[in-house]
Amino acid sequence: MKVSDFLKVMFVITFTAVLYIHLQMSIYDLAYQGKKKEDTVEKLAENNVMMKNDILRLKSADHIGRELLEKEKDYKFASRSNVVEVETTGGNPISGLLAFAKF
Amino acid sequence: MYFQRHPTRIGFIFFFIFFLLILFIIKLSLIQVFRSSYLADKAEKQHNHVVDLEPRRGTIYDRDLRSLALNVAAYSLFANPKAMKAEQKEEAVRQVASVLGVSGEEIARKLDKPKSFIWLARKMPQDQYERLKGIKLHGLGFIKESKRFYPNGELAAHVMGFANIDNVGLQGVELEFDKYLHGTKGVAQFLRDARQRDLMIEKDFIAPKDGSDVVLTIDETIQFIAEKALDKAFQKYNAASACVIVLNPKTGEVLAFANRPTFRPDAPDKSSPESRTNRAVAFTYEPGSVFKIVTATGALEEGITNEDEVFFCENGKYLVGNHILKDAHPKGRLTFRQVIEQSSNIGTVKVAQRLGADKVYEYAHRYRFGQKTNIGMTGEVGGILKPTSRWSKTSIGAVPIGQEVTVTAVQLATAIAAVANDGVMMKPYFIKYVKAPNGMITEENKPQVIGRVMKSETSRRLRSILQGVIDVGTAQMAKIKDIPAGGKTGTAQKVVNGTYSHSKFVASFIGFAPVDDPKLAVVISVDEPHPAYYGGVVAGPVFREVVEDSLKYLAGKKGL
Repeated sequence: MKVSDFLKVMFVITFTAVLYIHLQMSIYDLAYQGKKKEDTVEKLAENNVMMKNDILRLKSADHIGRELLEKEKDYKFASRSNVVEVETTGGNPISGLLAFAKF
Repeated sequence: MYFQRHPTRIGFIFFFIFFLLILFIIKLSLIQVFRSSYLADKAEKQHNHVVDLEPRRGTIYDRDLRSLALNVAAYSLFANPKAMKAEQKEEAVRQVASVLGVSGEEIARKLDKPKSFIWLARKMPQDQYERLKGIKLHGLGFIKESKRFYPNGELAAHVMGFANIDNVGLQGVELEFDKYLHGTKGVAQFLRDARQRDLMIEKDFIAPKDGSDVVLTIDETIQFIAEKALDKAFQKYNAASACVIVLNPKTGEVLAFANRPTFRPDAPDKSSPESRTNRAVAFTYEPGSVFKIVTATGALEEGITNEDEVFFCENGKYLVGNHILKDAHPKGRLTFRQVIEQSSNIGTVKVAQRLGADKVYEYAHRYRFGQKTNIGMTGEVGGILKPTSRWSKTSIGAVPIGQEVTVTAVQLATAIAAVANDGVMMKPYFIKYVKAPNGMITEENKPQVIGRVMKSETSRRLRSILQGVIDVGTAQMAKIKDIPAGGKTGTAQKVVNGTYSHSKFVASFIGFAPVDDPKLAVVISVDEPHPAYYGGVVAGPVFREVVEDSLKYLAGKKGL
């Protein structure tokens, strides 16, 4: 084999090897970046879970019931005689609310 | 030229280099051939990290899919004592002990162990984690786990039960449906770098299978209403224990179920075994006058009397066998309707004597007393109902008024529900369905008829009589404005040292509303109330509050 041919072969092999190593390092680099994003997502998920827990606890029958009973001892469920159905015209929710407020 | 003038030197260098080459080849052979598997394993362990993927434990919902129990993320603090120096351990003790609320000695004792991994705190409350997460101490770290969260605190504790720190069910639905709730662990293998940091490069992955969700028949709001009302009576009358059950008489669905004393499902270790006992299914007691519905049912169904027939109640004393039966308030002449309304023991026993022991037993058996209801709760017992072959001469004066027989609260609930449901007894149940993570319903309970206790017409007549108990009888404190309700009071003497006590009673009320189209059947039982102990006084108001608020809530739920 001539020296020039040998050098061409070596160049191709070396280039391929360096390219492979570069791609491998890119994969690891992306993995590190993904890890950082994962930490951010985990923090957001953590906050979301804390908020969800608080919401579930606050809207639970036990909490709402106890809060209402503390503020107003005579709290009672409304019977049909306590509720008046208000008819609105045109289906406009705002006018419906105003009509209810006036009553 | 040099090579020709110094052949020995050149030969020696060549031989040295060749010798080194042979050494390299030998070393390479040792590494790549003889020790390859050992070194490959070591590299595998260093660079690969196998992680167990915890499945999401199923959620327990009420009938309207409001969460009653679910899993939330919780952090656990661990330490690696082997990797910590003495001053690091001291610093850890100083910073961690006060936050966790434990003594420094306890933390120090844990850190003194010659281990690579120990827990300092499992699944901490969020506020503790927030205070500790800023600590950057070598050898300490956090692992994210999940723990059970009960948004309603103690509500429906005896139905739901509780799970332990490893999310394994130990009581109630958490135990009985653990096989559906717990799911299956998964596994993932991640690549790790030289600093032991996980990289997001998965090599192997088996997804965890999340647990199925369980939907109860319990209504969270009715449960709250029932527990609030029960708490009032339990505290006001300094009772030893109490329970309340609310059923839909048409379907047998349990809408509310509570015992007192109770416990917090998220901290069961802070409660006594007594408070965790599900008394409503596991404790039996002599029911007293509530049992009179059995004789009343038999008498009307067999046609041996009618509502207006008059009975002489012996002015309060009546000899049965060799035992003198007494009425709490002596009566003279009462109609059959009034016998039940005023809860006359003598009037009831006279009717029972006419009915006959065998028929009394038959109707008690129709009501499934002496048998479990098979509601599906662990620890249920069936109570005692002796066959007539084992009755004594005085039993006819005892069984019809709820003595010499023992029942559970859930049996009474099922019985009064049958009265309310036109005489048809429905099987009580509290699990609506189980839903897999993919949305498929894997197990579902539907209303199931157990049997017919009485004809529809008899049920109507009996409901009318029981309405009188509230309108003019012993349960006037259970009266609800604008809602006709019916029921029966019970004030049962407890047996203490083989005799009936005059100071310890079980106050009960069983009832339903509205009379014409019953939507709720309720049982309240209060053990050893004092100073008051009559069923109408202690349990009657609980019935009123539970039914009044629950019916208003249900009406609002269906829309205007």
